Amino acid sequence: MNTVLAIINGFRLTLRHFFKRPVTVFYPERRRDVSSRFRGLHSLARDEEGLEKCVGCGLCAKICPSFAIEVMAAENTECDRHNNTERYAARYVIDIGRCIFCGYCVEACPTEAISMTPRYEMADYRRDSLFYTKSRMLPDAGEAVQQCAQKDATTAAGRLREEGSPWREDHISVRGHGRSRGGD
Amino acid sequence: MFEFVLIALVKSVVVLVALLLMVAYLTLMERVVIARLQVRVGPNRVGPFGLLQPIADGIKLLLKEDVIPAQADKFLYVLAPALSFGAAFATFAVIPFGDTVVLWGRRIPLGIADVNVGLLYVFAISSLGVYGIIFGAWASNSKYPLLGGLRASAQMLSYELCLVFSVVGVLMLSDSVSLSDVVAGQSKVWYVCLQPVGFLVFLMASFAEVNRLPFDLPEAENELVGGFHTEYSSMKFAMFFLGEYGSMITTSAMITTLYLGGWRGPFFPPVVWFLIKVVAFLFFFIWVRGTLPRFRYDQLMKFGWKVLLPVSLANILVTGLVLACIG
Repeated sequence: MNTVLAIINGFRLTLRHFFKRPVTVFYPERRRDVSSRFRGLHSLARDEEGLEKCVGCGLCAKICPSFAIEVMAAENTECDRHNNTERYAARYVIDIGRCIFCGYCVEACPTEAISMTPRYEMADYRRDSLFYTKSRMLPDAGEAVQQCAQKDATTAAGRLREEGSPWREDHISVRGHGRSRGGD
Repeated sequence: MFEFVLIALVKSVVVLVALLLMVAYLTLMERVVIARLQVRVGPNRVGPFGLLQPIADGIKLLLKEDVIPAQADKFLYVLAPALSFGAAFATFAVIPFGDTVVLWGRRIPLGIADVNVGLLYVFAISSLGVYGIIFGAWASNSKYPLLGGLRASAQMLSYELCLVFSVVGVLMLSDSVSLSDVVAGQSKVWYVCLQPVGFLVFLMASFAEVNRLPFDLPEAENELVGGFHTEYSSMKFAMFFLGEYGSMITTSAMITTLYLGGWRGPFFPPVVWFLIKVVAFLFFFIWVRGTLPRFRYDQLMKFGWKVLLPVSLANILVTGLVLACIG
């Protein structure tokens, strides 16, 4: 008898659901609001003067559990000045195809240079567009910085900083963390 | 004679086309209803309200590669889907779906054939449908289909027994195995009121007969991959699919005819009433799928032999006693 009642109850429940409004969000036309703490694509920050907050310490690369971040630091020079500290990130690449969006890099950053945005649509047709370089994650610089940037395009550091060279084994040593790469 | 053949031919073509269309849209209905039962929306992208979805599915299936396993028994492998498909639709031949209509001065009964052994024909054909599944399972020469096929044969044979026994009550009331007589016998009172127990047994047994949840053990996708049709692809798979949904429709039509007064009903024309009742039962089939989990195999056999069969036998006994006392 109990079984029969349970079955009838089940039928009542599913029929109630039948007349409910579906919870489906029609995705490409509408998008769900994400939580304010959503961990999406990374972004790099500038300070009030328009200088880069990143000092190229590489802590984010070191803590990254999926080895998705590559940082190459260089010295700031008189004309090639990116911030008021000694060093800056000449090359900063996140392989978003490897990233697991854990947010450890954000926690590790001592200067709060890296943060995560709510952007979650990062699918692409080409693998190399999954490498997010500094220029894709930094907001536009102020004018003063841009003038200087034109000059340093000729310097060695400037050439290095430009995106392009995809992930290569020999870059790993540059990242400078002592962990082995597991079974990779 | 020529006229008789022609009328029968036209009727069969019309019914077959209508059935195939119904099957196509039954798949859409199933997906949408299941979705709504789960508070989703279901397919709605192909055409307005997803109405072209069955056509897209059909084209996709047709264009798929047709694989025949190297070790398969080719003859049986090809025969099986055809059997399962044919048996599902052949049943409809004896089901009356409307009153006699007068067209161009001729009286045409709606129903392809009014055979005087109608019910026996239905059960004979639906037993043939089991062969489609067993042949397909055996001919695939593969583990999962074989297991699915063994389950299918045991399940369908034991539930067919209950199916037939539960109908005996109806036959005793209508005094005939012709389905049009059964419908005629329900002009005053539907047999569902006189045979509630028989109706319930028939309903449950027919779920097992068409391999629908909660009795879909021959397929059991989570344990047997796809059961008997694991190795099938392309149009052969589609034939099994058509057969399964076709037998869903014919079973609904049978329940309607045997217990719900067939095409009888007020206000609307008979064919409309018939369709309303059939679609209601199709909805019920889907509703059950959205509600009940699958039986375990031993539960299924126990339920069939220890519950349904004794109940249907008792139903015959009681019906006979009451008829004897009244008559």
